[in-house]
Amino acid sequence: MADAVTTQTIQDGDRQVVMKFTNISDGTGESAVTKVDVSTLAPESRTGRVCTEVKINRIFYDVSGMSVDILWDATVDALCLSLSGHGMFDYRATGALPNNAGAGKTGDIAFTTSGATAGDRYFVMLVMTKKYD
Amino acid sequence: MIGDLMHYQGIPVTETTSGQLANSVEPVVKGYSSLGSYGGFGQSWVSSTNTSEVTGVSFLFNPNGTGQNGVMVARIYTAAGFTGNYYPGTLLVESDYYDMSGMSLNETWYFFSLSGWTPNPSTRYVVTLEAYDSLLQDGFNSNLIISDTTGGFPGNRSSLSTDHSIWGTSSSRDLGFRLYNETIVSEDIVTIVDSDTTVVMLISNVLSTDETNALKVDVSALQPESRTGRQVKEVYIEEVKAVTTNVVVDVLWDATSPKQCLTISGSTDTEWDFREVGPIVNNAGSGKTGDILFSTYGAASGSSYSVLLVMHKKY
Repeated sequence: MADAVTTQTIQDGDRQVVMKFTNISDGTGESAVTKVDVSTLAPESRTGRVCTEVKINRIFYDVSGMSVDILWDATVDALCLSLSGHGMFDYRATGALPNNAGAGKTGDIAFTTSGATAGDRYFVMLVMTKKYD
Repeated sequence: MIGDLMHYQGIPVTETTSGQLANSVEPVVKGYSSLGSYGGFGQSWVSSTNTSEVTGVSFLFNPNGTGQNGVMVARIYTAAGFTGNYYPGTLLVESDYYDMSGMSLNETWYFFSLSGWTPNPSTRYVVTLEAYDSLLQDGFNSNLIISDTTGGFPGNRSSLSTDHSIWGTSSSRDLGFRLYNETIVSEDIVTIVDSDTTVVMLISNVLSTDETNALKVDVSALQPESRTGRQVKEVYIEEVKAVTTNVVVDVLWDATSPKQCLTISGSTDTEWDFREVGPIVNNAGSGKTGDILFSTYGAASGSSYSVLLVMHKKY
């Protein structure tokens, strides 16, 4: 069995991508599951360049009964931040969260849950700025 | 011998209007059925999406001027059978036994107290009135209980053989009853704004058991576009302001398989403004209606939520 998850792309423009994720756990949890695959985001409209990574500007979230680690995907995933409870973080004034993953960095974002039991759930919305090489 | 003589309560009390009427069959064209020819009667019914503890049930009697003897008991069972032919399954709760002698000789609603049982939401049950002789044995009494003979109410009547062994069903009659629970008003949906572009609704609930796919925003009930008369087809969520107590609220887009939109669990204020980044659009699949549903998780006595949705209307 597996957690019941959804992914929704709210917005995917040249500059900004907004994606919403939900999970209702059956107790299995998620381990380094790719949530944002930068290679599938819309390319830059004028140049056709492919998005190579994102920065996190804002996070809307509600995490119940478990915690959710937001990871930058790499050979060894780098922890971006860990969520529990509910709220909203706005990093625009202080600087969007950059991808500081090390060797094997892909630009993708993955989630890992911790302590999930049946009925635990989360809602996470990431507002991200796209970066092209 | 069935039951316990220690639980005799005398004659049942005539009905009061205390408590919230949760479900009822109010006989229109009355049919009189003898509790002498049958051991009892039942009626199938479906609970609402928001339930609370049942405090009792009333039935309509008319001894038609003839004094009665024997005892009777009200019971609620799970529903067995199928559409038009539901009958009692497993016993869930019963009242004390009441003495028929001394009941009014005229048409009267009598109330049978129940306690300690809360129906599951949107679930079918059968309520019954069953009669015995004064020794609580299967026996004869001739009290008349009243049904509606139009067959126009949801559910169906069931009838019990005099030896209390077999239930039959009839879809052309409905047993008159009134079911009471404690909560007067537990759900409140207030439409604060309903303009051409925006609808703002405050949805509150005090609940002791979980809701499942309960309709909260019915787009067909929203105001049409004033200039064109076009009906609203769906809404997008722009802002959420919410607080929950001991319950988690799932907000879902209604469809054949409702689609999870977001989850609210904060016991302190949750305030999300998606206008700059969204709004959150309806991405439901097959059978999408445009409506918004709530399901809850973990509701228990004392649980509650208040959710304010600011939504953009789409025609």
